[in-house]
Amino acid sequence: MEYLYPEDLKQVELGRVPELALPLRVGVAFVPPATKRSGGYGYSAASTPTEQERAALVEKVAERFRQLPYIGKVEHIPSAYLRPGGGFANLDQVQAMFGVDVIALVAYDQVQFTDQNLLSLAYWTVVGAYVVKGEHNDTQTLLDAVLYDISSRSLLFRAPGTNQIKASATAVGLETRLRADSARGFELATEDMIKNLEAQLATFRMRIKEQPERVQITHRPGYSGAGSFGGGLALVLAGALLWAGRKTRL
Amino acid sequence: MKLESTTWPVGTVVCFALAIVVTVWPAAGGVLVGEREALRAGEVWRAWTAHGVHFSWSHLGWSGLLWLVAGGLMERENRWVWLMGVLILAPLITVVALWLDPQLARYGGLSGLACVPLVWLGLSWVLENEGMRRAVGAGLLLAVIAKVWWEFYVGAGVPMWAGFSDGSAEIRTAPWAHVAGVLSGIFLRVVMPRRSRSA
Repeated sequence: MEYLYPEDLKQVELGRVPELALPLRVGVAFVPPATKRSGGYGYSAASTPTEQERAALVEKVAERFRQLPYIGKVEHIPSAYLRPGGGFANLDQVQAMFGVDVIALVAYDQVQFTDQNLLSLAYWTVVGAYVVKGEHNDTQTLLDAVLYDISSRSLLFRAPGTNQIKASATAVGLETRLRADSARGFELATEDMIKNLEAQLATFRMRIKEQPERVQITHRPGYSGAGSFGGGLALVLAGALLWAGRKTRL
Repeated sequence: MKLESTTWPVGTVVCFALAIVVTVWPAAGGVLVGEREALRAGEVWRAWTAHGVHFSWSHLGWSGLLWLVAGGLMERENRWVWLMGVLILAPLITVVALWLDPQLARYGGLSGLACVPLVWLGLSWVLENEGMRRAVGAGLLLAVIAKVWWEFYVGAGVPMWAGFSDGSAEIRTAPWAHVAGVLSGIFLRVVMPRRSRSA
């Protein structure tokens, strides 16, 4: 939300009925990190994923889109092209530069909480800080992929991915543990998001079919064409052929 | 040369089996579908193989059913005519579908080809003296004409929900393929009249 509506979150632009020209051209991008939040006791915003991790995640999302026959091309939009708080003005620029119709924005948030339990009393012995797991930590990860039609400013669907990891560590091993949980949380949330994304893509197709007034479908040059006999007509014709053809000499 | 008569329409079944293989193995569809640019680049086999590429199982199911029945009957009646349809007219159907619809980038499916035996049989039965078969033949021809009319004046530009039960919004009807199939069936019936295999 901060990326799309940086000025005033209360004045959200209402989307028009999206008009999707098939085959769709999709951009996939990782939303730039929001402004830093204030901390609290036992709370820390975990380190953001590395560029490689983000690229791998974006590629996984792009791969799901590529499997769909109504998708013409899928562009990985590098992070450098998205400004923090860039909003739809920034997406308009991306649309012009990369020639995409819709964009899948992947947002990421992870927080980690750390508390000490009773076992931390053993830290007074110094050795306890090395061997007793007196630190209890909780890593919560949220990934969210939203698909927007850029021209109409319409949200087509969203697919969240969440994960929570609870673990304990020694005082000395706490940082290492937190980093490992952060990476693991990101990985598991990604899997969850991809699963939801696949479900949402299937639902989206059915929604277009059942509620055509919500999304207008047009075709641009370069579509696929086929002839087909609908089920009813095919059955009637086949039945008539079999009936009349039963006298055919063998 | 006289072709051996067989009980089973082997050619029709083989074509359908190949279409199943292509649907099971989508990667093959990429090199077999009737793609305009690839055809221009010299990949001429696509003009034949396009008929075996389907965009969903329901697409294959309904088109394949009609192909099996109509193509099978035609092959059993006269394999020479059937071969003419598959070897000479099948690529023309693909080319006509792409040529007359400049926005169409890829064509695939058995239904255009299935129109050839459908119309050939319909015309043959209309020209017979058996009352009921004549009526069925006329009904088949009227149904095909009505379908083509519907595609041009009503269905064109509308996603083919009815034909593709999985809701593939990306596929449009290619009515020129059916027109080409119908004309091919008429052409075959006129230049190669029906004859008994035992003749």
